[in-house]
Amino acid sequence: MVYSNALDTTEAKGLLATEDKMHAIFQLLKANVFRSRSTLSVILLQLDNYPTTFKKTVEKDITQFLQSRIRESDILIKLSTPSEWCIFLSPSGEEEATAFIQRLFNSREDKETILFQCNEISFSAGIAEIGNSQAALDEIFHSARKLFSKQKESWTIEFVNTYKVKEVEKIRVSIIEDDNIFQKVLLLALTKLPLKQFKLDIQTFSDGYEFLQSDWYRSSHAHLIIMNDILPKKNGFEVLYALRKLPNSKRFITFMMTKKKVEEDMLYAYENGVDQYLFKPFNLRLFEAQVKRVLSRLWS
Amino acid sequence: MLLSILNFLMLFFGNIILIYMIVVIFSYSIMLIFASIELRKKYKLNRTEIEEDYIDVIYTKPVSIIVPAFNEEVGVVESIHSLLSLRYPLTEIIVVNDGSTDLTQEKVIEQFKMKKIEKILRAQLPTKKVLSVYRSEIHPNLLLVEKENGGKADALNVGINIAQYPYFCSIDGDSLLQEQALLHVMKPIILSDEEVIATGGNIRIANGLNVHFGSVFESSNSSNLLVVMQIVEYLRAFLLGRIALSKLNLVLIISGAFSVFSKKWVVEVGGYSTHTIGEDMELVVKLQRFIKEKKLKKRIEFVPDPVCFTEAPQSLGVLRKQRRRWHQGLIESLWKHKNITFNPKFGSIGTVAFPYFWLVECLGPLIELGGYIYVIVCFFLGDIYLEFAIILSLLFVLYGSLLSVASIILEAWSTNTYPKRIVVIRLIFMALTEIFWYKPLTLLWRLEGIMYFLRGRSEWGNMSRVGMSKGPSR
Amino acid sequence: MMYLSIELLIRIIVVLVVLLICFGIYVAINGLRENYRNKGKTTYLDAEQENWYTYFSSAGEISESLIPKTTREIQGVEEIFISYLKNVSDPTIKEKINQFSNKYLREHYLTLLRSKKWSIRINGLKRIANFEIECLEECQKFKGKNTSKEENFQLLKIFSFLNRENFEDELLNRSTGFSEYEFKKLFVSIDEELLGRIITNIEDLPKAGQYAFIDILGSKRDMKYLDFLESQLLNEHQEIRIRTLKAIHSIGVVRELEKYIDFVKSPFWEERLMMAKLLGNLPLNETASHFRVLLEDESWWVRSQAAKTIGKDKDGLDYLKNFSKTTGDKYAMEMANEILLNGGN
Repeated sequence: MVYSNALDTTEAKGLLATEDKMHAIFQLLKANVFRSRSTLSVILLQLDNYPTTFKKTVEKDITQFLQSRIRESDILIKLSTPSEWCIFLSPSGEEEATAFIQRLFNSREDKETILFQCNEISFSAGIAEIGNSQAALDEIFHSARKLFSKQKESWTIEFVNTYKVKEVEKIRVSIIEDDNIFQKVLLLALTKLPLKQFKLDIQTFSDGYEFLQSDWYRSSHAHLIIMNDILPKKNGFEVLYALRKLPNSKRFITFMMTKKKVEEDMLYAYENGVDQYLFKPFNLRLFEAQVKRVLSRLWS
Repeated sequence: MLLSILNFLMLFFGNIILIYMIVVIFSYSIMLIFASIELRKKYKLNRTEIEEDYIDVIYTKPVSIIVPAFNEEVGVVESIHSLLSLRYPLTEIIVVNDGSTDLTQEKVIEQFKMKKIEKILRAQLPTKKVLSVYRSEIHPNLLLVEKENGGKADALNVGINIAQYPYFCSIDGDSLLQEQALLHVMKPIILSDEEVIATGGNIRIANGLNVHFGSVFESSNSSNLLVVMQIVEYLRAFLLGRIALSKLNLVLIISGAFSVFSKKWVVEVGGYSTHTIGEDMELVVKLQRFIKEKKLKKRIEFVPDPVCFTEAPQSLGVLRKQRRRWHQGLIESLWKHKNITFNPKFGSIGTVAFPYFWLVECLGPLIELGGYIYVIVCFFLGDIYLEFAIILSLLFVLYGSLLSVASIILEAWSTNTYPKRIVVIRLIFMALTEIFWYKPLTLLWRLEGIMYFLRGRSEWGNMSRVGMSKGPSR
Repeated sequence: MMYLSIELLIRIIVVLVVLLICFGIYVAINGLRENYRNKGKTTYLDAEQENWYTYFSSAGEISESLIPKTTREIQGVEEIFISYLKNVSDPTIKEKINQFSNKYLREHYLTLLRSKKWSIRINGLKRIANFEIECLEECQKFKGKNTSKEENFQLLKIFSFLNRENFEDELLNRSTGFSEYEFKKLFVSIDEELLGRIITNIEDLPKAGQYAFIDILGSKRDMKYLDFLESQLLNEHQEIRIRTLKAIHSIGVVRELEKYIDFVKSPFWEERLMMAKLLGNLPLNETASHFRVLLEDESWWVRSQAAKTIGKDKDGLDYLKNFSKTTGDKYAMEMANEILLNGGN
């Protein structure tokens, strides 16, 4: 068996875990999905046909080969079910996982890849993107296997979409604006904003002090703040400063609305954590687009 | 023989008092009519603008705001907050700690995260030594200057030296500004292409108003009678004087509690004088004098919009000290520039404003107090004097009460600062009682001021410290 | 003193008291009416705000309830429109406001124009200018001479969209007595085409107008005005030259340094000060020798500005370090050191 030696030249990069730890690892990664707002992909890889005689050694070689192909952040598990492997790609979405599998499949044409040169083997792959915490590994495997059994040819990729839907995240929004009419306009614009992944929980305030006195900004939710630079009682800069002092202040996304175009003030505000400046008067459609964009960037 | 001399004297004084009263009532009535015409013109003028006037840097002139603070640990932070929420495009705030012995400096440093910086001062005006300069990490335009104690005028001069903008605004550590305050007082300057070199705002009393973090909320009524009386007094001072004087470019007093000056001209006249009590009034007189001497086409104006709120004294003791001080300051400024009086070289300032201030504002109290005593004496003497006493009393009513009531109603009509009916009725009622208690008291205190002035003139040094004066003297 | 009898005085006082009471009652009733009106306005605002938003943000027809029936409701509509115009720039919303006010508010504002009270007329003119209501004929009835400065100002704003052909004439006729501020506000609100037309007649404007015009060109930050501005550098009036330097500085483009070099040695410190700012738009290695002159300038302002400008350059601190070692000028050194100690600020 020559190929075993040859395989050793490629280094293993990712982690190889055993099946008993698989569920614990999955739980951990799943919990991270929500916290870091980045999806996780689970891949089930099944060998369609292989030389029965060398079953054990081939499986070992395949494991080694796979381990050499995954990234450092990915995890590979050899399942106890014969000729099945599971890979966690984290953080990765469906597209990245598909690209990964495609690369893997393409290497069968590659003269350098000794594994495919020496063995007459073919794979099927099932990809599941995990976007919510309801996901269960066994369910995914079960669906994947069902899809595999229906297919007619090998080297195909199947998708399990059951858990792709991201959980709707609650985002707090504060509008701090002293013009009552415009406050209402902003409120309406945001309330009517079509968002799939997020639910906006909006409160309005007429001055900085009222906002800082409320408990509203103290939760751990991501928090979008839309405020004027000049406000009664405590102005926008003071609110900004108070927020920056809080632990985990990164969860605040701040839009500062201004009428005075004083560059020094703007530079200072950007340095102190303002994400976006809005010059009044501004375009409402543009404002909505900016809010959407900023929110969509929350999920990577 | 004795009786006829007495008769003659009584008649003589009676006539002086009578003529004085008629002159005063006449001039106040004219000013009231003047004010009504002015207010009538702007009545119902809708001030909401789309461009929100002057908010853009291209229209406005940047202003340095100077806050002299001597032992103001209670109010200084609140004051700075109110300055930070001013609607104005470009300002810097310079808090001058005049060698405070309390926690003024520590409080400011802590609240606004001040860090020491290096700054070379340009000593355009001579002052006491500046120890250090701090800049806020939260608000880059907020500076704190620590200096050796030298009095309010000296602190203001330090502020002028540090200020980088062409206009500066002086403000007392304990006065609170409306958001639009600076816009309002800068308006005459901007609109006149800088022909106006100094402006002062209309001062109101903050007691009984809900003031918080620099914003003033709805007016409720203060229960303190002294405070209510002072509200009436401030209102009247504004309607029966300031508007008319400003229109005629005769302004000699703009309150130190909130005023804006062109730095260039103030430096030209040597800044604030450190050896006077009423340094704010004295500066205005100096400027007026300079304008007239150099025949400049410049003006000093008073802004009718209520822009600045100040805490009025609530006890007789404090009020007495305040009034004594104002009056002393007033006479000092007049005396220092006495050669302007009746000097046609100084135009209407010399022929109208100075005589008016000497007679009505300065010596008035003496005559009025004489009037009170005269009335009492007449009642005792009876006979023909009785009629005299009644005439004088009626004039007092006309002068003291009716003019006040008229100004309260005029105010309620034009600006409606006190939207609640009950407050207005209360003010009117109090105005009617004024001649029986408040008026004689203030007259006595002013008399005391005159005496202090006469005594104090030889002892300069003692007066140089502290600077409490603000608000109108009448 | 008998000419002043008790009886006469009492009569005067009684008359005055009666007058005051009447005035007081009038004020009180007026106040009540005002409150009532405000309440009506608030009700309208509460009820219709959301409908207005829907109308503005979607293609639907206007609903009957939005059309104001009383003065109170007109005030409510006005408040909503003003808030939108102040804060929102969507062209469709502006268009809708314009159409609506031409259709339903025009009559109301025309009545205001006919008022004898100056303040009411001004209110009307302001809104006509804000909502761009078509009423050229009515506005032209205001004859230049009897019209106050404030009215003329609003009229010019209106003519800038209703009577564009004759705008320059109107400007010359009606702008007497305008301060720089008024000119600026006017020039800010007019479009490029009109600005371009004014450039050719700039000499006819009073000085305040010329200053304002140059300032506004600066604030537009548009290179296309550089030709005109550079031509103004040779103007005989010092103030115009200073403003021009300032405007070019705010555009931030210095095309040919040679055109400006003379100002470094100008006899007026204000011009040298502007140069200390303007040179900051060029790389330090091109301007180093001029900055040396400015840092050693006799005026504090010029020295201070020069040091500040250099401090903002990326190589500025090195330059200042080197400068403070080699200069013989004590004041200049002091200034350089202040910037160095604060790390360039």
